[in-house]
Amino acid sequence: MEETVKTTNDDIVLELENLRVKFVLETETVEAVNGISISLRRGRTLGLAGETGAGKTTTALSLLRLVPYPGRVECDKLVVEGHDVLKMSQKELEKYRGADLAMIFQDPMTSLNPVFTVGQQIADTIMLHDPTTREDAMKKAEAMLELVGIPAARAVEYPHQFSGGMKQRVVIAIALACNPGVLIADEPTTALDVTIQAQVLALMKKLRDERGMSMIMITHDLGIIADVCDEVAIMYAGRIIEYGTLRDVFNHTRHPYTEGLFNSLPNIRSRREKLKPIPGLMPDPSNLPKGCAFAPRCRYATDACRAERPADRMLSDTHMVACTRYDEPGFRIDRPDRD
Amino acid sequence: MKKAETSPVLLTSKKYVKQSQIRIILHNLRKNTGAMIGLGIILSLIIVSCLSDIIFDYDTEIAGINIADKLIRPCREHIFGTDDLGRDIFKRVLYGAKYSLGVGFAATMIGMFIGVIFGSIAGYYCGLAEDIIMRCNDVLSAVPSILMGIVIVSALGASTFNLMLAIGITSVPQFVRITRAAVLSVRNQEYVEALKATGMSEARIIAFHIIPNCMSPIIVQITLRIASAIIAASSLSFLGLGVPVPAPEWGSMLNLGRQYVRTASYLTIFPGLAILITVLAFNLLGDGLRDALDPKLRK
Amino acid sequence: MLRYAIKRLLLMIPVIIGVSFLIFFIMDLAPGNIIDSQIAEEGMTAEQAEALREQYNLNGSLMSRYFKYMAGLLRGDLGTSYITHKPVLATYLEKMPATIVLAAASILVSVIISIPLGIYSAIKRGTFTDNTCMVLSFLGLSIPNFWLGLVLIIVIALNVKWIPTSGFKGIASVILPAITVGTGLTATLARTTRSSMLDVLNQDYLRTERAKGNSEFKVVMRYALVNALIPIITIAGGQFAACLGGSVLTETIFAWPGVGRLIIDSVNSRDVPMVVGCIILKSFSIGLVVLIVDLLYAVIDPRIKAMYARGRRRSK
Repeated sequence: MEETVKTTNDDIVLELENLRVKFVLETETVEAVNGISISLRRGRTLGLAGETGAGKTTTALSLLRLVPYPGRVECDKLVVEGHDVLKMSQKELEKYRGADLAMIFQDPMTSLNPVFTVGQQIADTIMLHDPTTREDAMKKAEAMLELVGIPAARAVEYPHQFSGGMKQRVVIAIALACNPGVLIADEPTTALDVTIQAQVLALMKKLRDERGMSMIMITHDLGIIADVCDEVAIMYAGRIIEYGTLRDVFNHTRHPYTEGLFNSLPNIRSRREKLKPIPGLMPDPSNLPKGCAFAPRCRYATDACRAERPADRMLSDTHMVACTRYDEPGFRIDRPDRD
Repeated sequence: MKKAETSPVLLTSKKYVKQSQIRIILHNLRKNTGAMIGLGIILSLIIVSCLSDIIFDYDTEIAGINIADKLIRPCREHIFGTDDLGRDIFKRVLYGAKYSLGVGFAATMIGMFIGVIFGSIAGYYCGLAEDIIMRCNDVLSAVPSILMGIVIVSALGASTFNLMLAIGITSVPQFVRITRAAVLSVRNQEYVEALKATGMSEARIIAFHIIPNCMSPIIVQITLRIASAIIAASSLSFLGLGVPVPAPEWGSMLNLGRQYVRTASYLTIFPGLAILITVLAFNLLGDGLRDALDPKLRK
Repeated sequence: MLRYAIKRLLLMIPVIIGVSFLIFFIMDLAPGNIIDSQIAEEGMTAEQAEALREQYNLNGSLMSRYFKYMAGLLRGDLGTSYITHKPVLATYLEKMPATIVLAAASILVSVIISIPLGIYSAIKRGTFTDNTCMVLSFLGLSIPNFWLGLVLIIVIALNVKWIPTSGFKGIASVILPAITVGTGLTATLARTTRSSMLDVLNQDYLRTERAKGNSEFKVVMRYALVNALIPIITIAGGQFAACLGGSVLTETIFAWPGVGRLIIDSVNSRDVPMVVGCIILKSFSIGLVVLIVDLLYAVIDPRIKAMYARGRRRSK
């Protein structure tokens, strides 16, 4: 990754350096995120992929500074749309959330307030960031509903009257209501049926392109990444272990874990081929191994891997991999490059 | 691709020991200071109740009249003072523990026994049986329990047994409701479906898989009910509708103290404190049990 | 909504019938009655005695007397007191105002204190303040309120002369009874508020509200509280209903001229028609308040409103 300074490069809308999040509990300390750096350029979409528990959602919540109570967030730099988020007061943070950076949550069933109409919920966001009358806000809210493909007349209905896919459209409308520069989508389609997933994704892509928004797409579905993203960061146990353009990561896969992810996908073209799951489980985040967190499951692992955490290695201008084995000249994983 | 069959690796060094339900519950309970204090108080009260007839002579020390010593303020000899008939309040308060505990336990057991039977019938067999039971329950719970107690005792006459019966009956609706809800929720759970699918007999499912899962709300309810039964018992005794007079029931001691509230307030303070502490102990234990038994809160 | 309310009112009828029968039956278990002893004392003729017995519905089997009583009930006649020889309903209504004043005062004080306390405890969960509040609420729950009333008389009334300790004479006289009744309510409500808020504070939709840029204060006081209200209203409504029926013990201690004391006095003087009538009226008023609370749910929660509209009973 190239070094960027916030004033010199307007193109960068979000820059995060060395984010660490710990949850300190009575009996143990859960290390959810262990040093993540991301930079996102205007209009681009970054995919954040990894298994459940890799720290994706915690990373997203850290960007909003909304990590819940026992969580401790440390970070060297967080600049969004030219604002230094780390130096913000509580008031400034409230202004920043929703206006500069908005988020779509995973489960639309539970992320809408059951006792307010969907129109009210969208209008609330608008009124928070744009001093206007309630009537105007409601009008805008109805326009937002139309934008996400819901008839404006349904603005007076309550969340329980909507289906899951419709609710997610409402959540998207809330997130986009104030025209944020950056949108974080946290597994926006996981809770939905497959056919609805495609519709919601298509809607998000359309709105992103129309508005020139930057987006961080969090998902465990590599298909969605391939569909939506320009850049990909693969997370494992609270770290980014491979980071690059879509092409870098998908066609020139370097990290053994990323390889494992691809191998565990069913291949529609050859149905005979057996799935090859990654053996073992994600390590307990309260008890991470000393060396590379993936080493216990990695078939390429050596004693060196187990002894020390791997540093980030740049394989090209855009492609980063955190794997000690690449110190050996000529080391290659089994997965062939595809171009 | 050749090494695809790698065996799963043990990723953590933590030891996972199989823990029995009871051990987990006790462990959780032990961490709850309030519950342990409550348990301690209850155990000492039980010990006091068991020993009270050995330590004190009922006829002379508890109920015996000694006008010469009447209405002595708390002093070294009578640390809680004496009442209008010269009886030592401290001894009477200690002796009174067995009435409150006894009535509280017995009444709750009566209520639980009836309530659990009808509640589980209503829970298992939906339809007519459930409707009848629940409508009767509505009727019973429509009358405030203290009033129900007053009416029953006044109709049957004031005696310790009638007091237990009255309070027991008033606590039935709660038990019916809780048991029914527990049975109902467990019965509709998918694991019961799954057990039926394995071909297990209905009786076995009920005995080993439904009832054990209904126990925790009932146990919690018992503890909390004892607390309210003790308050109810002393309230009725306070109104002269409970344990008959010479017996040092805390409520009837308060009734006596009421006449001297302006001149000898110690007659009122100490028996009331005894009720407060006892009820507090059961409430603390009940609350601790609820936390310890609730799998949702367990981490 | 209206249909639901009417349906619920109709459902109260069998409950009232059941209650009246139950109380009628239990009171019948008591041996002897005042009228008979009156007859014996005054040495009436057989005819006079018969007429008197007839007037007070003492002739015939239990069932026939019950049906006669219910026939009266339908006409709004709840019988006549053995002691005062006044109609039960009139006497009850006469005592209502004092009870309503006490109930309103207690519930008002406890709502004002307990809800902010419960919210604060929930936000500051696990802190010293929270623990202190919860310990205090435990004490409040465990205090027998008749004892609290006596202690208040000892501590306050004997030192602060302007607070009366008995009767219903002006605002000052409400203070002690309201504290007595309100302490338990405050404790229960504070605990309910706390646990209900804790439930709601973990919900995902509050994260959405925060992500929108709402201040924490607004998230808690508007978006969370509305969702937490249902259990709070249930308990507060139930408590208010119970108070409205008269707090027997508190009214006895403070010589409060309300319904609770009317009942206990009637029980003590074996005034059977008064006891039966009062309990029926009391159960009815409790049922009515509970119904109003249930209807309030619909105002707060659109999901419940939809359920009522579909005519389905809430399954719990």
